[in-house]
Amino acid sequence: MKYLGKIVLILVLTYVGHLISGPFWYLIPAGFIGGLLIITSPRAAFFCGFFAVSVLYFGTAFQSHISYDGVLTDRVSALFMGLNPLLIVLIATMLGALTAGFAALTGTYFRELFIPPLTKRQRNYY
Amino acid sequence: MASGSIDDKKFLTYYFSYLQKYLHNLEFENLGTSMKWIKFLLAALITGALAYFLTNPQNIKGTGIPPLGYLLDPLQGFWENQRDLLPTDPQIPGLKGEVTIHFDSMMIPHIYAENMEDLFRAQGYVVAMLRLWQMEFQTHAAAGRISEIIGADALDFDRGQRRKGMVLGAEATLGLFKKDPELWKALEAYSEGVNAYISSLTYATLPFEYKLLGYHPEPWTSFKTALLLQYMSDNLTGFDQDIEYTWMLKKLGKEKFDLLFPERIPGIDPTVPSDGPWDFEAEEIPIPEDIAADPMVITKLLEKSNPKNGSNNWAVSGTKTASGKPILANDTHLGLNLPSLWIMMELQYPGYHVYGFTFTGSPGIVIGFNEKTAWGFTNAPRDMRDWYKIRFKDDKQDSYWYDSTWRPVTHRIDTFKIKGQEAFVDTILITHHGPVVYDARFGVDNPKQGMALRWTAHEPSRIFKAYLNFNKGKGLKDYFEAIPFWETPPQNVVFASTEGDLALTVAGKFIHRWEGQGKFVLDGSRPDHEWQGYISPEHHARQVNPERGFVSSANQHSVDAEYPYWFFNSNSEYYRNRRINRRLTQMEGITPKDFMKLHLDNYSIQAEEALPMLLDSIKGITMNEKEREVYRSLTQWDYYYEADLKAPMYFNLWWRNIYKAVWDWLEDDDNPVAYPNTATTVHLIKTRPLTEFSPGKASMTQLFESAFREMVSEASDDQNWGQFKGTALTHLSRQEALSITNIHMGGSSNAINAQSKGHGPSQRMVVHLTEPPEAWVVYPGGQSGNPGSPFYSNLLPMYQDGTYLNVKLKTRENFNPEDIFLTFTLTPKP
Repeated sequence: MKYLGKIVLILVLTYVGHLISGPFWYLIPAGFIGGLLIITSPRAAFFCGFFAVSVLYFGTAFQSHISYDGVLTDRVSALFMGLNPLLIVLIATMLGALTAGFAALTGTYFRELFIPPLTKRQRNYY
Repeated sequence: MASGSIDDKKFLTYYFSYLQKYLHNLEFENLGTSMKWIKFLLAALITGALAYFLTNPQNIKGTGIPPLGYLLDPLQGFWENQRDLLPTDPQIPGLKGEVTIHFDSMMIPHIYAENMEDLFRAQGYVVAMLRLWQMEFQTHAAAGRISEIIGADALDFDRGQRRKGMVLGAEATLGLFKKDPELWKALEAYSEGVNAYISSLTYATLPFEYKLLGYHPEPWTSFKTALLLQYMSDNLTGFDQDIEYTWMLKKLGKEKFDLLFPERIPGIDPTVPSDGPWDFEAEEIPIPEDIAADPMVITKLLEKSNPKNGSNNWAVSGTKTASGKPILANDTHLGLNLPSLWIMMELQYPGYHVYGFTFTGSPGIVIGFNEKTAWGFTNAPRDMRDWYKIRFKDDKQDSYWYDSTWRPVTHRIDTFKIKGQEAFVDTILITHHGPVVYDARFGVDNPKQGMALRWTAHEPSRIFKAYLNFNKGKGLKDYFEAIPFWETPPQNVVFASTEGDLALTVAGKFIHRWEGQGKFVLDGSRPDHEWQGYISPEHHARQVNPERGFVSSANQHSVDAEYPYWFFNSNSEYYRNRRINRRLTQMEGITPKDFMKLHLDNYSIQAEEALPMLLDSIKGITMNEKEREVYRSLTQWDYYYEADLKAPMYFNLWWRNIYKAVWDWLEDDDNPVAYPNTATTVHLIKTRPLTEFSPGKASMTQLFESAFREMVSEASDDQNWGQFKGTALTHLSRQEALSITNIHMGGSSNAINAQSKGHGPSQRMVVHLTEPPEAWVVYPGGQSGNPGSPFYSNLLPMYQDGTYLNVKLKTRENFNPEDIFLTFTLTPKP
């Protein structure tokens, strides 16, 4: 449940960040705040950020690729040494997911600087 | 010592347990805090490094990569450009009245405004919405600023642009714009419209190419409109062979030079033929003794504009049409690019209602029709550029020799921003002739020598005023009132009206030359080598309602030798024009459909004139099976360059081989070379012994024969003409992924349908001057410049098939709602 909450929070923050700010950078505050607010292990924080943005990015990019018949994904993939257009979808997803993952990790470590991490027991209890 | 050692053991046990405790504390209290910081900083560092990598351009093995985080971001990156990014709440500040813009099913905007300025504001807005990247890129190219976008690879191009005076010319034109209040209002309103669109952009709505190349649009200004005009002037007057001719003259001597490069050959059909003596005389200018300077070594010559840039236009009077009303046709032959050079639109405010093709970056309609008239253009090629050899006093290049004195040189310091590198600074030397294009900084080894360019495109041009007046014209009188404003680039301006009038004027700012002036490099120190003035517009060649019932032009010689002024052009057209005139003479009871068919005419007079002679001369040779088959297909060919035939490919290859063999003796690795044109080559082959113009060759028959065998062996078995020619629409960035290649179409540069690989009719228009007029239009491309839009190249299939959009003037109210794809209603904001 907690992981799901974290994923949803990062996902929502990413989307809101996209709406109110410039491109790409919004991933970093979204991941960071998500990592900061909901307490998980650092490893879980990374994967929540990674997963949240993967879902959002892959969904958006794949949907865009399919519904416009790859009109630009095909051209961009041709510009990128003729990669398969679906690979462009995956690369775009991975780059965003990694950034958000590390931002979430940073957020969690930042929190741990001031508030001691919960023990394994405590974490399970939550 | 034994007990002592036990004590020691105790001590050690005690000591280790203390140490353990100490270390334990250290880990949980002190070392623990450090670790936390290290972990945090490491994670932050990785996040930061990723962000830095993804938001900055990278260079991988010499290939520039745009900021990937921005470009690939599915929420705001290039994915957004897979659809038309149409503004949901369009706003143009400064509107005085309401503006309605209907976009039809082809995305053609129909703009209805209450006054001129609002109309041009809205025009600027929609052109930016559809073509922003292209409009800025073209003006960046004109201004020599491509290195800012793509890096140092473009630096030589940029330096060449500025050295040849592109910016100087645009600055001069801007100065003239400002002196014309009406025109200035139109230009400024247009800029406001473009800027209203630019300021509405976010990264997500930025045109695709900006994302791909990683930069942002800057504000539009009227100076950019002047640069656009410069871009067109360069396209249309940027070709000359003075430097090459000077070397050829030295190498061949005058007699042979004149044989190989005649100013006219028999059988030409000028745009405006003399029908008796002209009713004016040209003022005599004495011809200097030496008409050419000595050739000068230049190691780096600039690329010239494509000599194929040209067009067809014609108009027939009611006596030759089925309806009794004139019909006008125009197709402009330019580089075939995406986004297309042209964009179509309809513009209306009270007293002004016009439809047609226009540039992306200037107000009004360039080629089109209104309620009463229609007009169109072909290039009127003539020598518009002269090169002056400059002698500097010393290495400092502060002064140059002119009329027996040293004159001061102006030094203009120009900075070139380069993407990913430090800026480059060039000094451009300016003489009273014009900018020094070639000097010790660019292409010349001797610091005391230079080559200055004088070019009509350095002077201001009022063509925008001319065509804005055509837009409003009601008849012949208005046409002739507007014509004197048509300066550079010179054009054959064809005109027809619903009143039944036809006219064609060879309009432009033409230099009044002494015979031979500017054919070769001129001496910059001699006053008698300077331009002596311009031909007065009253002396321009023109035709009004000629007896033959038609006017036409196709970049041929504008006039014959009877014309009182000396005419010179190194690049005249010889074939299309005669085909047009032949057909127009034959045709009767013409309908618009006939002209649409004529636009697609693939007949080549070059093949008609050259092929029978070639076939005849090799008739008796022994041939293998394949050669016999090729020979047979050529004898059966009717000179139409149809895409599905093989014969046009055989003829083209055969002729190319013959041409190479005839002129290979002119090749020169050290100095620039000019080669005689095709028409002259055919003429010489027909009228002179081979030894007179191609020394060292055995015989004509042998030359044709070996060229034939070579052609048969290199011609592909599975290609036809369409595949062999492979017409392409190339994206302005030259990226193949954004271009369309191998378009299967007939035609040849010598046919009316002047298709070659990357060049051909860039638009086609036929206007029937009924009341009201009706038109048929098409161009290879689409209204949107966005490669992700369905309107990027949707008109290409129609263009390929030879079909047209049928269009009429419509009003805001009588617009059929079914034709409306989208409507913007813009209202003034208090």
